[in-house]
Amino acid sequence: MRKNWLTPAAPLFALALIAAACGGGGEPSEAATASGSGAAGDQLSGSISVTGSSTVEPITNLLAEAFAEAHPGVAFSVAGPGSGDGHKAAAAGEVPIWNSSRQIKDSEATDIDAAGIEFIELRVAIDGISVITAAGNDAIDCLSFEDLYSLVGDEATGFGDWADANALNAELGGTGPFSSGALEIFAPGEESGTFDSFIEIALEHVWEHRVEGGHADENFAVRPDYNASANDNVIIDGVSGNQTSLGWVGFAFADENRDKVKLLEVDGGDGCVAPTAETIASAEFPIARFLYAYIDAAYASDPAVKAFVDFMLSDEGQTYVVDAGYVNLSAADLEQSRSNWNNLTTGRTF
Amino acid sequence: MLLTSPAGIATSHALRRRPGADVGGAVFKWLLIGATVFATGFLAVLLAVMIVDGWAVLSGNLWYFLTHGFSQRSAAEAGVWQGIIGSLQVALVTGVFAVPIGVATAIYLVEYAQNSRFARIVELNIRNLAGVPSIVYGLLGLVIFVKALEDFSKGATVIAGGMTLAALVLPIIVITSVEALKAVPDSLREAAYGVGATKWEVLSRQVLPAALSTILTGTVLALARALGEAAPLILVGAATGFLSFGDANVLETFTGPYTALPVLIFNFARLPGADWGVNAAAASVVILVLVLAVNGLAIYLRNRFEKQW
Repeated sequence: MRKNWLTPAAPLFALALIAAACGGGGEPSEAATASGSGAAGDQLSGSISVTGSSTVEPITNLLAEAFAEAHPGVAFSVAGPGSGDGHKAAAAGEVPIWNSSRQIKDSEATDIDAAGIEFIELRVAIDGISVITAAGNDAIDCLSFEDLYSLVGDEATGFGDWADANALNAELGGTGPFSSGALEIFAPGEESGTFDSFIEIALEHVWEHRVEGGHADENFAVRPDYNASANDNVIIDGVSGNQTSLGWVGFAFADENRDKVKLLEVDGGDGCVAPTAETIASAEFPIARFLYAYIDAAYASDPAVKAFVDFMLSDEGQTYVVDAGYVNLSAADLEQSRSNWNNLTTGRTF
Repeated sequence: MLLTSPAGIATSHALRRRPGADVGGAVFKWLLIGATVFATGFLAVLLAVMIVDGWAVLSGNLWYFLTHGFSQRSAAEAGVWQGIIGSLQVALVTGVFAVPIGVATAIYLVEYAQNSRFARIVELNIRNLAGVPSIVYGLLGLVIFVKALEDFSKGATVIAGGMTLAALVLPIIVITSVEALKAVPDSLREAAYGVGATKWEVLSRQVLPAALSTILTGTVLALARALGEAAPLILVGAATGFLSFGDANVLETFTGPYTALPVLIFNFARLPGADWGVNAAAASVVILVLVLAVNGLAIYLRNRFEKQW
């Protein structure tokens, strides 16, 4: 009996040892990857953690990957719980960099200020979304937010023809009536950031109004009966294959496919604006929003954080914005971000 | 006389019933078989779907997938190495905190507090705690282990994640350990007391060794449950994106950022594009193999040290 007492526990200890050994195994592998990419003699060390918007997370991931290859000594972690969570984490301290898919709110800035933390505000990219139809579709040129809701909102469920939306469109004060034609919708699936962005920027205002009026469901902004795809190419092919189709994708992708799809003008309340790199960079085009990174000023002197933010704002770093499917800032905005960072200007500057 | 009594006649009459007349029993048996087939069939379909969906990775570059970290660049460049390490590290911390506390609680409840009012209230509460959704433990972990105990856990680290999951599985360990100790026959305790053993001797030499295999099985199954949790870890700050350990040594990684396999699966699944879905399925197979290995260990322990009474 006495002998049996410890022996059953032995496999648990073995598990513990395996876990510890595996933990050790990670180091040579990491080092090997880094030295394989040709980084030589870099002495930078420390740690960087980035949290906040899941929309901005892909840009940060790409930047971090390239940065970690050049500076293998720096520990890096990226998380994307959401913009609001990022600002909350910042107010709790210990977060050097947090992303946001919108500008910081007054209440959030107050909380961070109350925690004795000063932040540096940087614009890093633009999230622009294009509303598209087939390249040869002359029936439609410009849609307002009300039009978009009457075509793709939850209340449009079952509309198989543009003309089906006319009654709802008139009720909302849209630009209709639309002429008859099959209404096939192709757009990103719910898991996509573009789906969320489209709701937040284009549909939310009208939708919330309808929910308040008791007309729309408070849980669903978009009709369920559309062709959802996670692959942008499938969306482009679907839209271009149906003469009177409708869809939306990230601007960068639509712009590359102008031969197949027509990028519609959108009226966000100030008249119709065509999506171009310029109108998006200037935020004239209504379905576009700036993506921000916020830096805790206390970390600005941290060598690792400084090197990373320098890299993020560099011309090379900005190429990853496009790789992640977003639009580059205008020269003026990028210059403003760089100047905020170099002069350590704190508070809201945009 | 006895054989001709009415009771005797009734018994022998019952014994003479034809076996085929037991309709209720037959229906019940087939219901049970149906339920078993449904449960295992469901699991088999799930497993088959995951293997088929993840086949491109599992058959092609499994080794690369197992030995490389997360990459945003493309699904083909992303692996689960950090998730495997992180899951094992978190499970280790979970075990270190949950097992001693859980088993000690069970010993106190069964052997010391016995049937006191206090013990019954505590046990009832622990059973209720086992049913609390895991996300709630995530909130608890964020407030207590990440923030309040920051000096010890160093913030959103492996330690904080492991302690959160320890709180999550603690009720399970307590309950299984309580049942294991209750299953030890009182005759064993009485015999030991009878030959003059002290309470400590009865516990350490007789009761605990007798209950150990069941306690270990329950513990290992609880750790397997911890291995599969994603929601609480995301809440207490496991990295969903890029992660590198820099020049941290093994010990330092316990107080540094981490990720875990279920968190990686969550991340792969939300990324747009079919090839990320393949990664999610392949990572699901990896975690399933890991959990099966842990459960296999539990079965081995049970068979190896099981006591028959």
